[in-house]
Amino acid sequence: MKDRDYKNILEAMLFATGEEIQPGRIASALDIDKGTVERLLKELSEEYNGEHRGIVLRELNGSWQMCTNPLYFENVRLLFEKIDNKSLSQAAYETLAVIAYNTEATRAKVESVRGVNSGSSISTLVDKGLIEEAGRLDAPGRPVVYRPSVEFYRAFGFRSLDDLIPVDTSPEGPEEEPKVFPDDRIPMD
Amino acid sequence: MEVKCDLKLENFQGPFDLLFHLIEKNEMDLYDIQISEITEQYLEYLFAMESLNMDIASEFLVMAATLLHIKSRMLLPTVSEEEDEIDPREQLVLQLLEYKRCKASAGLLKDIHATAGLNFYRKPSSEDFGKTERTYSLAPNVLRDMYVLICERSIARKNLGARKVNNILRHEKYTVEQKLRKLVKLLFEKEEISFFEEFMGKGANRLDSITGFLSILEMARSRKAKLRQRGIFEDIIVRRTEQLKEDDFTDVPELYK
Repeated sequence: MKDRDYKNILEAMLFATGEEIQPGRIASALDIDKGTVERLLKELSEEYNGEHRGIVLRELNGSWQMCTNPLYFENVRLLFEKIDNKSLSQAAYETLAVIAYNTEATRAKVESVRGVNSGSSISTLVDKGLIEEAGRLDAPGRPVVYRPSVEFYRAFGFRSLDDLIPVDTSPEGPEEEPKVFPDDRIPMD
Repeated sequence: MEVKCDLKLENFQGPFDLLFHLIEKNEMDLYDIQISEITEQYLEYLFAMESLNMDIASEFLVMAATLLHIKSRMLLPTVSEEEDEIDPREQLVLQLLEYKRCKASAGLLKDIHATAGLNFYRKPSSEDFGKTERTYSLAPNVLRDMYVLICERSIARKNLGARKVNNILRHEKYTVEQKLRKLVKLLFEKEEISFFEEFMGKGANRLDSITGFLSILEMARSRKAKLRQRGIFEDIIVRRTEQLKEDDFTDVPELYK
């Protein structure tokens, strides 16, 4: 089979599933190399971009999904009666920032940075699907660890956490700052 | 005074946020906070909150205590003359810096959130594709071997269960009471007996030995018999004393039954 055929199959698959799909799953279904699938997906995505289509392909933390071109957002939204106000509270943004910039974090970590109880912000973010549980930490109390979910990448347009803009606030410029809790763990002794 | 603070207080995310506001308002260097001034202003805010009957979150009070603690430590003269004396403000500054970074990244996320995500996504397909079909290759002899293995395992398990039942039944046969009665009988026949012969000889199992041993100990304790052993791991010779009567140990404590 030629690349063209494969690309058409990928396109059809992305349309059929609707949700985000991992290259590995496509690779095992088609019995071809995962690297090839990733290359073809990137090429297909560039074709979509090059032709200014109404549909684009988006990479979301390693998975791929079809979505509408943001250029036509205002037009498409006219079809819908009402779109939920998506903005969050300051507390929720702060909580999300701690979790995203640390890749993952426990509630205790969030609270140690923010200095306030963050339980309700975490539940809000879980309810909105922006963060999800990523297991439990092997520390006293076995606290739940939270990480950004696929919805987070969708809502913020990030391909991966590498897209996060580094924040530097020290007046002397990027100088090394000691982290308060370097590895997030509570000392055991 | 009350009206002045009213609206502003609501916006603070927590004690760090309030501290930041104060530091910025006073144009202070974050790395050289004038604790005394900041503490005073911080407490002023808390008092204002209180007079407005607002619920003060406990975190604000903890911070107030922390500030007062730092302030008192700054007032004390340093005892040691070492150069690397830890500044009492260090921990607070580190936390403030981390919070500052958190606030800045939260702002970034907020901006990105407002402009990004102008896409529409389809809902996951409702098509039921069913489960993936799988083919398993099984040779007849593999199947047969498996069957044999399962049978063997189940027989072994059954035998294990049977042995456990035996143990339960046997357990009830041995009591210290029985052994005491047997000992009394033996000692009236022979006056002196060998522990090894009677309780560890052929046909005796571990429970025989244990209950037997407990009973000779009990006899020795109540001075009805004397025990002799020549050395470690040697046989124990049990010899009755004059105090032993034939009807001894007919009424033993519940423990021995």
